[in-house]
Amino acid sequence: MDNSTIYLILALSGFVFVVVLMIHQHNCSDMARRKRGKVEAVTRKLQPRIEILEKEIVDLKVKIEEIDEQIVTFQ
Amino acid sequence: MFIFLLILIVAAIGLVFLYRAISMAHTLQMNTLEDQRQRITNQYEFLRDQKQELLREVARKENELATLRNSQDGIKTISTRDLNLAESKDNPDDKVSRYLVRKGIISLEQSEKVTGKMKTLHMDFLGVCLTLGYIDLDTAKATLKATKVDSKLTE
Repeated sequence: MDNSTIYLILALSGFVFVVVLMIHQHNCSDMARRKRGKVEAVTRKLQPRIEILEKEIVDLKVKIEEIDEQIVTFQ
Repeated sequence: MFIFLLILIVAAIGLVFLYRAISMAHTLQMNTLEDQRQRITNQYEFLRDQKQELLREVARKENELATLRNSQDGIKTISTRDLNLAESKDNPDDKVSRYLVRKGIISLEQSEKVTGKMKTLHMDFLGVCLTLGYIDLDTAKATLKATKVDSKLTE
């Protein structure tokens, strides 16, 4: 093989390698973006519910303490 | 020729390393996101279960309190006659509500909550009580029998 052919093969190989890497990178980042969107959707959906549940739990605990006091008073 | 092959092999090895590095970074990122999702889901489920448990405890303690109150008042059993329900011309839901509260099956707060939900759910008092899990079906039937109120439950 003469030099020009070798350079041509090297250049083509380099091009193919770079394209493979770029496609792989694009694929991975696309999957990560979709996954991040799903996680954000779940967080948006559940976060307000969690805050409400936390408030309700605090209220319930207070209520239980009040009932306990009343029970002790009656006993 | 040798140099050409050497460059090609080095480039191929470089490609494999870069490919693996990108894959590992991707896996790490996906794992982090999955952990985040799992954490928030677990937190929600934990709080939901805790709330259910506390609701059950509140119901149990309210029943206990109502029993204590009744025993303090000396009321062992309550009939419709005691409550003047048979003669009452009130709203049937009020009759049922008063009966359940006086019997200590539900608390006053629960009764108010049920009354508030009746319009939203378009159900009668017993239906809402059943939906919210304050009473079971047998209690509902016994209440209907005691208060002589027509309900959708009897249909």
